Amino acid sequence: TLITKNISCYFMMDTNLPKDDLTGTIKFIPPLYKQRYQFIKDLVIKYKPKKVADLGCADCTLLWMLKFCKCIEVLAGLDIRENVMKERMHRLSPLPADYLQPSERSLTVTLHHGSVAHKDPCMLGFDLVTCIELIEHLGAAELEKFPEVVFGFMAPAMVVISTPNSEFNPLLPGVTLFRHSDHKFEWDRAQFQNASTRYDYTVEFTGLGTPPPGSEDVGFCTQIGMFVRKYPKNGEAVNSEKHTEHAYKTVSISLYPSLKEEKYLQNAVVSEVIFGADIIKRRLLGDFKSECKEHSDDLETKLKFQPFKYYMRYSKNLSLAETEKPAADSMEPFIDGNTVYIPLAKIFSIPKVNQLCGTFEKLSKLIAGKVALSNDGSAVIVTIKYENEEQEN
Amino acid sequence: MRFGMMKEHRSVTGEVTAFDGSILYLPIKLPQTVDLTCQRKTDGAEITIKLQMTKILEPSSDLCIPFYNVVFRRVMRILDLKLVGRNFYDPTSPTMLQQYRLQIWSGYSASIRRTDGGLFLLVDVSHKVIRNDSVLDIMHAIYQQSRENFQDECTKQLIGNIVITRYNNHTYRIDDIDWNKTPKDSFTMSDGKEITFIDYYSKNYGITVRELDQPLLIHRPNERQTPQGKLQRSEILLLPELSYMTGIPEKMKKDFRAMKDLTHQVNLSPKQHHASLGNLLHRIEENEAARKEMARWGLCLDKDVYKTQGHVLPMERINLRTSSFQTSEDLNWTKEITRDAAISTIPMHYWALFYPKRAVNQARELVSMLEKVSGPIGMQLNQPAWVELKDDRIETYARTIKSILGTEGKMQMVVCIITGTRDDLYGAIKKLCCVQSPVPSQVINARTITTQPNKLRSVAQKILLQINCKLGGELWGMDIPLKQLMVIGMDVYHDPSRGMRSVVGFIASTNHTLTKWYSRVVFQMPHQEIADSLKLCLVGALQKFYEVNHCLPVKIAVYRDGVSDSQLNTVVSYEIPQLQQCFQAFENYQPKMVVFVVQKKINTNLYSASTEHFVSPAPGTVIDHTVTSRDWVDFYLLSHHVQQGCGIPTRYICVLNTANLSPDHMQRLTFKLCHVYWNWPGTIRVPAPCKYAHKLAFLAGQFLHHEPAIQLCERLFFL
Repeated sequence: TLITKNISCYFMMDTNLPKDDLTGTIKFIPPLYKQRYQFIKDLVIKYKPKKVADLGCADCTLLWMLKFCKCIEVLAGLDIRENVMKERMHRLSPLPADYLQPSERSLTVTLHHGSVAHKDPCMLGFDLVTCIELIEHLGAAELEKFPEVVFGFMAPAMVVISTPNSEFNPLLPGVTLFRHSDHKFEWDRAQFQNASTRYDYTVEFTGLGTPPPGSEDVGFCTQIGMFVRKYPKNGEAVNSEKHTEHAYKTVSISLYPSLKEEKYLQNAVVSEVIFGADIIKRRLLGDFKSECKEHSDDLETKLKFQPFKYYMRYSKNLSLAETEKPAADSMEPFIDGNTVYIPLAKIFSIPKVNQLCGTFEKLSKLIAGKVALSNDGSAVIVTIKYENEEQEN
Repeated sequence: MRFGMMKEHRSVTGEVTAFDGSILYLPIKLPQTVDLTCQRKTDGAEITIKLQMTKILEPSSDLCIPFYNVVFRRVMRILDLKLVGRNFYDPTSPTMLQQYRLQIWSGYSASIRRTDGGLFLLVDVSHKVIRNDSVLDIMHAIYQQSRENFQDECTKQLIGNIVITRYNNHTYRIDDIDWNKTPKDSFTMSDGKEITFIDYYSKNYGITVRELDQPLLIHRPNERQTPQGKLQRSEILLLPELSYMTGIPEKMKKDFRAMKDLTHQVNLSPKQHHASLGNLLHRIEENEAARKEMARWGLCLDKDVYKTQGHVLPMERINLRTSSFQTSEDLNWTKEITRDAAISTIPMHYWALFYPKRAVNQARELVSMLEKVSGPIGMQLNQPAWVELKDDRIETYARTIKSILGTEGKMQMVVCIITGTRDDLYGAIKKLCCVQSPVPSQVINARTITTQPNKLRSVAQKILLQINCKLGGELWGMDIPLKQLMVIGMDVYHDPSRGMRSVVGFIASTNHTLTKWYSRVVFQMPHQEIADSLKLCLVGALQKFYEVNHCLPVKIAVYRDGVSDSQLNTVVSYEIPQLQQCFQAFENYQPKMVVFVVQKKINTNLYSASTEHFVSPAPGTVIDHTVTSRDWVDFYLLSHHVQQGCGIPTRYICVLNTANLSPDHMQRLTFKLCHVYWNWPGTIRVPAPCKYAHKLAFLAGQFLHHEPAIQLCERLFFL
C-alpha cells in the first residue's frame, strides 16, 4: 500500500458527548478538501511530472497550488461549468513579479470548458491526470465513457482518482443519502475497486480521513485510486483515433514569462552584462584611485580636473584583484581615454552570464545592438562619466 | 452560505448579480417580492429566501459607482493588464533602463466617476518604475558600500518605499526593518498554527528561501476598526529576498542625466497621450469578452475622449518698483526682473561668505559677479566677511559659522559655498541658521559656479534675488482687486523615516499687495493628515496683519494642499471650524472666508483641440463644468507653461465660500497667485502660498526636524 508520510490526518471528538452521538462531531484538520489537494501536490513533488491535467478543476484551487511546483511546464484544467472556472481563474495568470525575474522553466496554464465524456487531442501526452471528487458527479452515460476517455484516449503515465467512500457516511453528520446534492452515486470500497479498469494500468488504493477509533473497518473518508501505466508509451502507439477533432472550448491560456523565451533571456543577459561591466569598471577605477592616493596628495587635486589622462598611464599594467585564472591578455579590461573596454571573453567568464548564455556565440548574439560594443565587436565599452556632473537648483 | 444559496437561484436572478450578503443588486427588474427556497448544505434544513425590491437605482447613482469600477477592473484583467497598487500595467513589454537596473511598465490608471456631465471613465497613462533587484540584493549593495552604517543606510534607503512581492499581487509600504528576526522565525497563521517563514513560503508557493539570515521588512497597515469598534493594529512581515522595490531610487533622483533618460521615457506629448488612451479604448472595443463584461451592467464607452469648451483667463500685469509689464505667451519674465529694480530691496551691508580653501576661486568669482548684477536689480551690496575654512567637514562649517555669528551681532546673511551634493552638511547649516542662531542663510554648491562659466551671470542673478527675498525684500507683485484680503497657504510634509510624523507648513500674507508673508511650522503625530494646531498659526498671522495694516483682514482666502477626496469632509467639519474659532480671539471680528483644497496629483489631462493636433493648452486655461464634481464647487486650472509632457491642470475645490466670491473671481484670484512665487519668474502649477508652505514644511521636516526660530517668521528664509 501507499504511504502518505507528509499528510497528517486528524479527527477531533468532543469527549463530553455520549459515544453514540459521536457522529455529529467528526471534523478533519486540515479540512479534507485541503488534504486532497496536498496529497496531489506531494505526489507531484515526488514524481515530478511535467504535464499535469486536472479534470473537474472547479474553481482552479488545485491548479493554483500546482503552478508553484517547479517541475510542471504544462497545466491544464477541464470543467463542465464554465462560470465556476471563470470566477477565480485570474489566480492562474502570471503575477507582475513573475516578469521581473522570469523563471528558468516555461509554464503554460490552459483552461478548457468541456466534458470528461468527450475526447479532445489537447489532453494527450500528459504525465499526470487528476480527478479529485469528480466521478461521483457524472451521470450514467458520462460515467460509462469516462474510463475510455481517460485511460484509453488520454492515457497519461499516471491517473489519480478520488471519490467518497460511502461506508464512512454513517459517521458523518446530516448525511442521509449522499454527501452532496449533485452526487449521482457514492461507492463503497468494493464498488470503487471493482469499477477500476481493465486498461493497462496497475492500481493502488489509499485514502484520506481516517475513521475514529472503534470504526476503523469503514475505511478512509475519501478513497483514492492511483493508476500507473504499465508500459512506457512508445511513439507509434498514437493511433489514428487520436486525431480527433477538438471537443473542448478553450477558456483561457496563461503563458508565464520564462528564460526559454528569447525576449526575456535577452533582457536578463543584457542586465547581467551591463551590471557586470559596471562592477569591472568601478574596480578598475577604484584600483587607480587607491594607487594614486599612495603617491601623493597633490595628485588628488589634479585628478579632480583631468582624471582620465592619469588613469591611462596606468592602464597598461593593471591587474584585477580577482580569483579568476590568469587568462590571455585579450581577457583583460583596459581604459582608453574616457572609455573602458571589457573584452567579451571577460564578460563571458562572469558566472551568471555564463550560466544564462551557455555559449559564447549565444552571448554575442543576445547583446548585439543592446550593449555598446567596441568597433570590432570584441569588447563591451563603458564610458566614464564625470561624477557629480548633475545639475542643481 | 448566503452567497452560495443566492447563486443556486441564478435561473431567477439571472447570471449578472452583485450581492453583499444582504442587498442584492441586479441589472434587471424582478417582481416586487420573490420567494425562493434552498436546502442548507450543513444540515439539510429548508431555508426560505424572500427577495423584496427596495429601490430602483439611477444608472449614475453613487451606489452604482463601486460596481462599475469592479466591472472595469475585470475588463482590464481580461485585457491582461496587471493590477499593481491601484493602476493597471503591462509587464510583458517593459522599457528596460539596464544601466540603472530598473524597468518601466506602462499602463493606465482608470476609474469610472460621476461628474456634473454624467458618468465618465477617467483614464490617465501611468508608468511604474520597478527595480530589477530584490530588496535583499539592494541590501547587499548597501553593505558593499558602507559596512559601518549598514543598518542606518538601509533604513534611510528602504523605509517608505513600496515593494511588490514575488508570490502574490500585493504592494506593501516598508515601515520598518526588524533586524532581530530572520526567515527562521515563526509566525501564527490564520488557523492558529505556528509556522516558520521558510516553511510557509516553501509549502504555499514552492519558494526556497536562499538566505536564512536576512532581516525582515515590516509593513504596518493603516489602523482599521474591527466590527467591535476596537482599533486594530497589525504588522505584516516580509522577506527582503521576495520583495521588489518600486519607484525611482533616491540616488537616481539626484542624477540629472538619469532623470533625463527617465522623463524621456515617461513623458508623453498630448498627441502620444491621446493615442495611448485611444489604444486602450480600441482594445476594449476589439475584445469580445471585455465588451461583454461591460455590457452585462449596461455600460458602454464612447469611441474617443470627451471634447468640451473651456476658457482662457486674461494675461496678467506684473509690477516692479518703477515699471510694470504684461506677461508674454510663455509666461516667463526672467529678463524683466533682472533688468529693472525689484519692488523693494534690502541693502546687504553685513554678510559673511564661508568657503573651503579649495573653493577660493569660486568664492571670488561669485562675489564679483554678484556685485555686477546687483546694480540693475537695485540692491546695495557690500563686500562680505571672507571666511576661509581649512576643510569641508560639517564640524568645521558649524564651528566657524557659530563663532562668527557670536562675535558679529549685526550679521544679516550667511552664505556658504559647499562642494558636492551633501544633504548632511546642508542640513547642519540650515539647522544652525534656522533654529539655533537664527539668521537667513544661502547654501551654494561650488559646482553651480564652476561647471558653466557662461551661465554664472544668471546663476548670480538668481542667487541675489533669492537672498533679497530671504532678507525680507519684495521682488514683484500684481494688482489685487480684493481689499483687506489675507491669503493663506498650507501644506503637509510626511516624514517616511520618522514614523511618518508629519509637518504642517503655514503661510499667510500680511499686506494688501500680497508681498509680505508670515510663516509657521507645526509638527504632528503619525497619520494625522489634517492640521491640528492651526489656531496658533492663524492667531499669530492675524496679529501680524494688524500690526502692519492697523486693521484685520475682511476676507481670508485659504489654499490647502495635500488633501484627498476622501478627506474633504474632514477639512470642512474639523479644520475650518478650528480656523474660525481663532476669530473669537479678536473683538467683534467675523471675516468672510473662502477655502480651496488644491489637488495637483490628479489623473485629468487637458488637451487643446484648437489646432490640428492636440497640444498642451495655454496657461490660464480653465474648465469649470461637465468634468467637475456634483457635490462641490470646483474647477480645473492649468496655470503653468507646459514644456514637457501633457497639460495636467490643478484642481481647486471650494469647500467654503462665505465671501461669496463668484467662480470668475475665484479663478482670477487663483491664477494671479500662481504668478507670485519668487523663486521662479513665471507661473507655477499651484498658488504661490501653497508652494511656499510646501517648501517650508519640507525644509522643517527633511532637514530641521524642529520648528524654525520665530525671529525668521516674517521672511521667506526657506526658499
